Amino acid sequence: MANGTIAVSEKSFYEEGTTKKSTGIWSWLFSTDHKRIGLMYLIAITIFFFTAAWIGVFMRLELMEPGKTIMEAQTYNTLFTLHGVIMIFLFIIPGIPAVFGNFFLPLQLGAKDVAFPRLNLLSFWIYLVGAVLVLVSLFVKGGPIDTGWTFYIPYSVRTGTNVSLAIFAAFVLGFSSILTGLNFVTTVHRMRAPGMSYFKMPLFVWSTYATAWIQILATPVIGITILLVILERYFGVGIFDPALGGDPILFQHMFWIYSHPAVYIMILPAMGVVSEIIPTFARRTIFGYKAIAMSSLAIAFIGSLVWAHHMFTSGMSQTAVIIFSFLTFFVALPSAIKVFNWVATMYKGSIDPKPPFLWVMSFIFLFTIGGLTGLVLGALVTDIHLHDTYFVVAHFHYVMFGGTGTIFFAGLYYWFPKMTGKMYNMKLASFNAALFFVAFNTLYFPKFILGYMGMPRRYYDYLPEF
Amino acid sequence: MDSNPTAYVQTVDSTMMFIIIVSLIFLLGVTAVMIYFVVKYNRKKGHKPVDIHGSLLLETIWFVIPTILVMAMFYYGFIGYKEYRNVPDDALEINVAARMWDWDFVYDNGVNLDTLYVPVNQSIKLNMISMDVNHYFYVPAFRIKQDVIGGSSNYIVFKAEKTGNYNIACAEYCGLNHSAMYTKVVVMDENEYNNWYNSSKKEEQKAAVNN
Amino acid sequence: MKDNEAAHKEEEHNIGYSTYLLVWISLVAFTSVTVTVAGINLGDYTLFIAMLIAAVKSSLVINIFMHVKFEDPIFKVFLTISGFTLLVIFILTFFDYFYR
Repeated sequence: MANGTIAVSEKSFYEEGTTKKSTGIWSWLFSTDHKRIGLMYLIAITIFFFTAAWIGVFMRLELMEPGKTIMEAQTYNTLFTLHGVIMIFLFIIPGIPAVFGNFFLPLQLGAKDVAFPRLNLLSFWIYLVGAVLVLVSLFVKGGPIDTGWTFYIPYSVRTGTNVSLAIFAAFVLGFSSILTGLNFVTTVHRMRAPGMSYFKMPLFVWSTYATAWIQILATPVIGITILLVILERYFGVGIFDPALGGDPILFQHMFWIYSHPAVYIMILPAMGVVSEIIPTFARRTIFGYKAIAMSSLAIAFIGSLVWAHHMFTSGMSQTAVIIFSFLTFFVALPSAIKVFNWVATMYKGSIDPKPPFLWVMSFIFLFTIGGLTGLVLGALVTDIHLHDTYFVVAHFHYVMFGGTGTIFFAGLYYWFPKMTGKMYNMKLASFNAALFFVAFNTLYFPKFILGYMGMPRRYYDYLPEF
Repeated sequence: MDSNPTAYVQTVDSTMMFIIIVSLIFLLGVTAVMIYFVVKYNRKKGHKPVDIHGSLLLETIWFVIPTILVMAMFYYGFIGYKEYRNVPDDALEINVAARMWDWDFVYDNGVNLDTLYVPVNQSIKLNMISMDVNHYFYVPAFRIKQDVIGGSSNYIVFKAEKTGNYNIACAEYCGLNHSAMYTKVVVMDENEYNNWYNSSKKEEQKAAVNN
Repeated sequence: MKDNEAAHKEEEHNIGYSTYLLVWISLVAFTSVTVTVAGINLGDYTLFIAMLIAAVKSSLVINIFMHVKFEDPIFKVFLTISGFTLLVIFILTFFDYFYR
């Protein structure tokens, strides 16, 4: 750390554990070192994040005023699909586990590397292949996908655009996610340093561990679903398509059996990072260690059983609607417990509000809003009114971007010195955190109100009153 | 609130108010406590940090209280949902077909229109089916929404208590002109509706003869 | 660890070809049962029976062919957790299917 560079030298921090000594870019691309893989993920993920963010900017520009502003409806439909696909599959799902998990999970466990270093590299390469497939699908015959990231059947079977290749990319990316999860579960079970019992593990490890379980158990379901959609498109097997006697609601079930737990794949590692940062800057131990660790597992488990709250209006049976609404409220509880414990950790500490801590403070505010509006959506009557409106858009941006996105930056600021051996400008970093907080609320808060007024989402054009 | 177009709106809005008020108390509470701690225990003041590992009593308290609150929220949602799905016996049935990117309302007398006309103070039951992809029948002013899917028919019930024009939107993304899939529900007096119903029937017959 | 591995190897030798053959035959037999049962209309039980046969078959494959029967308890715990989650997901989905 003292030499302050990440240059490839014999004694570099990054050379530990690498068996093959090669030079230049190849020493990175074919490295089985968890730290290098983590950094490569970081670079790739940052690129995709900015791509998708710019797509978001163009969408907002189009919606500046009613009618056509800068693009056609088809372009707009493509853009919101790409924004969703890139942000979800290429940024937020791998985001924290693949970058910080790869880098810090073995270090925090006192392990030399993850359990299967070569599998880890493979997982990174599969991720790249998936990303390339997404790009390719934009340019081949049929044109870019326009179904929304949910790929709802029957529209995804009827549309002429290139759905098959794009969802196949999601399928490939799913494999990358499963392999990472598998690696982490094995590492946690087999490679803890002597004397590190389960309840001595850092909380970031606990949350990554819970995430890894969801990755392993839920991701195959989306794989099956995607394959069935592809079969449906090419051979018309009639499992989902109502015109062939299929059931479109079955697709929604299968899709959300993965995609709802995926939300917790996104948020759980972020919660782990928060549980690391707060004690550091409050200079005291975390309040309620076991409660936080157990609530991670509880979120992972209950979160797998509430998927159908995305489908209250879908024509599902009324019994199912009521059961899922009931279960949904239970997933709010472990999250609430975490928030209370974090705030309690600040009690009688010695708090130094450095940039990572500022990010965490804004996380607690934004995530609480996101979580509480989730209660509005969990209650049946309000959900029926607000489903598929801008209220939902605001809600998940508060949870995902205000939650995970914020913590991605917090983690970056927190661990940047450790990863590179350099320190950043404190004032600029604090300003960055403050600016983000203000800008975020300006952008997303009005959407709650729009949604309650009844503005549906994914609208290229809108009535003058909105 | 007598300005509401249906009684059901009141149910939704009061549930919404209940959840929002509880949520605001939590949000402001958490934020205020957090900021207070950050100021009070700032490192500049030179406190010695105290290690507190946890408290079972506190954990229990902040598990039990939210549990009670969310169960109350579930209960209100549940009661409202029963009201929403309840079909009165005297409901007037109208068939609805959704297409990319149009609505089709078919009355018992065979009239076929793209705008929905209904009498005031009368429960309406819409039997909805989609001709192609998924759509959503959504009337923001009435706070009602239901999927329209292919294969099986869904229903939605409402009872307008004020005359006027209200927007119907499609809320499930259905392709190119999804955002233009707007139409209107026109709520009329009973007499006016009967007149319209009978005259529209004649027009339909005339059209049939001409064909 | 070493003792475990040794025990593992020893047990591996215990499975002879005859066991594998027997398992294979019973798998084929179960498949033919599935096909036959699919032809008979059993009403609500059709699905339940098909699922039951599939469960028996997969447990044979997992235990014998995939050697899980002779592995550490931790693997069995993991498998049970996964299977349990799957079961709960099935049950919840069928709340929709049966009450629609």
